Parts: sequence; structure tokens; C-alpha cells
Amino acid sequence: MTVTQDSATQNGALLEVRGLETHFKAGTKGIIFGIGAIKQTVRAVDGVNLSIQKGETLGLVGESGCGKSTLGYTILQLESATAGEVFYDGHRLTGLKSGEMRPFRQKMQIIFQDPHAALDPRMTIGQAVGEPLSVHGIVAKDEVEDKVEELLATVGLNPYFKNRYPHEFSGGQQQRIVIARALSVEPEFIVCDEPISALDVSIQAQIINLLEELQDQFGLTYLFISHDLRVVRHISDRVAVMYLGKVVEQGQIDALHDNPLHPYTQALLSSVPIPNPALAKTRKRIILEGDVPSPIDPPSGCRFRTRCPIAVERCAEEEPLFREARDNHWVACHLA
Amino acid sequence: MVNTVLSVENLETHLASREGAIKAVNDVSFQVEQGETLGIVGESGSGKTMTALSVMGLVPNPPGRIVGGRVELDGEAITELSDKELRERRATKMGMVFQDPATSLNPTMKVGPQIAETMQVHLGYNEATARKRAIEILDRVGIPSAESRYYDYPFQFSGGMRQRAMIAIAVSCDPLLLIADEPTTALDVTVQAQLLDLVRDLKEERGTSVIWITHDLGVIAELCDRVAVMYAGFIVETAPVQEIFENPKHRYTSLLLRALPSMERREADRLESIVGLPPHLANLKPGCPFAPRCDGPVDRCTEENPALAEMGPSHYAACWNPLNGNTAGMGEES
Repeated sequence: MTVTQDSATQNGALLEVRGLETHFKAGTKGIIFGIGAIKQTVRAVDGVNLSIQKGETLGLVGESGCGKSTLGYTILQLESATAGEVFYDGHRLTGLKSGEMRPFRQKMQIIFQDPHAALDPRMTIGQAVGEPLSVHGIVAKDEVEDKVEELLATVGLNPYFKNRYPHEFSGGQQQRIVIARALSVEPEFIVCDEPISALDVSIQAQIINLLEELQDQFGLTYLFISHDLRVVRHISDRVAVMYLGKVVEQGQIDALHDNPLHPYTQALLSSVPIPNPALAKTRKRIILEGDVPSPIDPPSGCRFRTRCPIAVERCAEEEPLFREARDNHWVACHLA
Repeated sequence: MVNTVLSVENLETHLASREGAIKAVNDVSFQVEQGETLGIVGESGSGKTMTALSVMGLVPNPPGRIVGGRVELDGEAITELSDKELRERRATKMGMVFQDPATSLNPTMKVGPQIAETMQVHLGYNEATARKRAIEILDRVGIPSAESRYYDYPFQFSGGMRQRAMIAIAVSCDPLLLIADEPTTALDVTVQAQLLDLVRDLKEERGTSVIWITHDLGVIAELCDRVAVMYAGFIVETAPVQEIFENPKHRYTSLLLRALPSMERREADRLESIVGLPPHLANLKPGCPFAPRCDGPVDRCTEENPALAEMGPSHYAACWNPLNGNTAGMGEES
């Protein structure tokens, strides 16, 4: 299948993902001497279609191991896709050499979950934020200092602290430093990979607010990966729900919350504890049984069928198509 | 009549550090009645885990030490028991579940025997009885085909199943009190929902009291009867669960509630956030520890630390300038 540049840009999407697959070679299982080993493949991302409009926040939710981070990395070409295509602003990223990818690296940034691990402990925060400026030649050498101070102020840190080291800052402040570093190259698109999961509730709100303010200020586009549905609800315009390497539902945030079509989305939403004791004790909850199956050997047909409360025979035989069930509301389920 | 299972009075736990004593638990008092679930909520470093460890007699020493106060479990002062007696009480009267089931289970020992061992040691069961009973418990906590999984190693269990196994060990000797420290934090929401359901059922079946420690106000709302909010090692507010959510008196509680994104609707506005950071527990300044981040401080706040005062029926808050909720509190100051 070949896709021309034109058709990719036609719908005005900044980012377009088509049939993306990222498979990893896993260790071997059942080594039998004399016979050899059974090779295994982890199908982390297994046929994902997505598009993100400019200035939009797409929330990506799912449980651990569903492939949401791998999808984020593959979009940024930090992992290489085993099949499928990623288009950024009409340009095909999949298959680019690392040198060819470089101009896009400046436009596409990422914020990781653990800011402590994302910062070099031996670099001052000024150096950390300044390095991408020199690497990409964003500003002249003698202006780097000023730009660093400006960036630190933008994320709500006192520029006076630029000569300090990461360990002198709290988790929330470290995440601000990571955000400043991502912003330094003036990106258009940022993958936020669980950016607040490691932070306390009172600090989470500060970082969410900062991300929203920056989006307004610089017209940023976010892919916001999180397992916290409350936060995703707050920050996203649209949301995609992943299960075992596939997107099972996608839609406008309100439509998806008010009227979830996929049984997995329904269960996921009803599992979120609500901070309202009166409501918590009366509402109907769908409790799924068991755990997520292994992405090495996913169930036949619909991957959710082994935990689905309404599965029928057809679900084991035939994989449901990802179809537009309502206006702009897509779902992969035979019964929805 | 109500039977107090656990009573903690003026507990003080300090940790030695180069910068001086870190006051992790400060003048903490609370009771847990039979069959009651007390939720302890707070951010990292608020002293909730140290409070639990103090109750269990598991404060790592050094650097930690209980420097004051009294903990009474079922009418017996825990703080005065020998190590041997404590170990026995921990099995038969207290069950514990920690955050990370992977590090709580012995990786070199099969799961079933770890449960059976507890009963052999503390209840004097012989091996066959203990095994039979362990399989029953595994089945009860929702491990599928418990009989064959009995001989699995912990690594063969998923995170949710390991935590179920931990719960199985904790309840194997039918304790009066179950202490759970962030047991669902490392788990996915769908698995968390399964475990909350399990604990609710077990509690009802056995009349066990529960102390549930979490940073998630949603979990508190789902599970608890009463809540204690901790900040900087102090209990700053305690009330029945409904009351905390509908009529918080302490400004920290209120800000914490407002900082949570809502699941019911999408607000266009920014979230309310709490400015600044929690104080360093080695050098607490005089006055209320929350004063520097508070949205309604008065002069007195920086001078004198408020004690818990009655704000309504079973509702106590330590605040010089409490919020006026809709329901009239008794003895309200403003």
C-alpha cells in the first residue's frame, strides 16, 4: 500500500499513524536441547490507526503493558516500526535515516514519566536546558544563557537556580525542568508519556495547568499518554483507548465518557474510583475478571473477549473491524 | 457496643538524619473500632507509612524510633511488648499488606507454602491442615484453580494475583486488624477495582477492622468509613467519609479535593493547585505546617500550631481559620 504525501495531509492532520505495528523479539521459551528454541514475538503495537489535529490533545489510555508508551516511542521513531507508517505534517517518518529524521526531532519532543531519570545528574539544569539550543542552533552562542533563563521562567522556575543540579529540586520542579528542555527547541508536537504519574496530587495539578498554559501560549499539539482517566478527561480533546496493542475505541472526550461503546472502555471508566462517597456506594460498577493476557500470544478474534462480560462465539472467530459507529466515534466491537 | 480494636495516643516517631531528627509522626492519635475501615490519606512524606509501621512495631531502627505515645491493640500496649511477643501479635491480630507485592513475597519459595507457613507457626496447624486451609484462602481471594497454583512461584503470578496472595497471608490467621499500605497503587485500575471489591467482602464476612493508607481520595471514597488526613506528620483533619468530602474544614483537605480532576465533566478552567512544596520535616517552623501553602492564613497560623478541635459530630480539624461548610459545625472558630 502506498500513500502519497497529498492524501496524508488532506484531512489536515498534523500527525497520522496508519497500520502501525511494533513487534519485539522476546526471549525464548521452552528450550529443548537438541531441538532448539521456540522464538517468541511481543506484539506491543499491533495495527494502530490514529490522527492528531494541530493544536489538539489526544489522550491515550490503557492499562500497563497495552503498548501505549511503545506507540508513543514509535511515533517519534525512537523505536522502529515493524510495519505501517507514521506521517508528520505530510512527511513520512517511517523508514527515514537518523540524519533525515533530525529536523523532525526538533519539532517532536517527549516528556517522560520519571523526571529524575530523564535528567543527567551531573549537568546543571541550565546546561540541560541549554544543550538542545546549541545542538539545533536555535539561538546564537552568546544568547544561550538568556534563552535558558527565559525558558526556566516560562515553566515557573526561578532563573536564579540555573546553576543548580537536578537533585536539589523536588519531583514537580524536576518535571518543570524536563518540560523547559523539551520546549527549548520550539517544538510543535510533544508526546507526554505519563508526565504526572510520579507526582503527588497537589503537584500534579500544577503540572497539568502548566502543560495547558504552554499549549495555549505556543499552540502545541499533545499526545497525552496516561493510565489516569481523570487526568485524561481533564486535559484531552479526544481520547483513544488501547488494549493489548490495539486501539479499541476513539472519540471526542465527552462522547466517549458519556456514552462509551466498547465494553472495555465501559469497564475501565467504571473502575476509576470517584472521590464522592455517596456516588461511590450506589453506582453500578463493572468488575472485569482476571488480568490482561500476554501480548506474546494474544487471544484469537477480539483480544478483549477473554475478559469481556458480553462476549459471544463470533468474538473468538472474527476480529472486529475498527469502524465509525457514531459521528467521529470509532469502535472495534461486534456488539457495539 | 462498639469495641475499640486499635487505639493510638500521642504517637511520635522520629528518624535520625544528618540534619537532625526528622519528625515523621507528630502527636498522632486515632482509634479504630471493630469492623471499621479507617482511611489515612496524605501525600508522600506526610507520615502515613511511618504511622502504620509504628502501629505494627516495624519502624526500622536505626534510624527510626518511637519517641513518645502509646499504641494499644485489643487492649494491649504494643509499644511495651518484646520482639517475640510482637511477632506473634503481628500474625494473629494484625495482617499487613504492602504496596509492592513483588518484594513482599519470598521469591525463592512457592506461594502456597508461604501462606501455610504462617498458619503452621502461629496457629499450630500441621502441614496437611495448613495446606488445605491455604488452598481455601487462595480460592477465597480469587486465585483461579487455587489447588494447582498453590505450587507456583511468585514470579508466575501477575501483579494483581501477587497482591491477592499477600492478602491471603494477611488474613490467614484471621486478624482483628488489617493494615494495608497503598496496596493498589502499583496496580491497574481494573485490577484495583477487583481488589477493593475483595477487601470489602472479606471485611463484611469476618468483621475485620481495616486501616487503608492511600494518596488516592477516590479509593478512600469507595472503601472507607472514616478518614484521617495527614500533612507533615500531623493528622490535620479527621471525620466520617461523607463529611470529609462534602464539608471539609481544613483548608488543606479542601484544596486537595479541588485539585482532583473531575470524572463527571470536563472543566474548561484550570485545576486548582496548591502552591509550593510540603515542609522539610527536620526543621518544622513554629505554627501550622501548612501555613506557607494555605489559601486562608491568619496571623496566628505562623505563631502557633493548632490542635485538633471539634468541628461537628466526630469531625475534628486542626485549623485556626476553618472553612464554613453548609452544615453548621459545633464550636466553629473563624
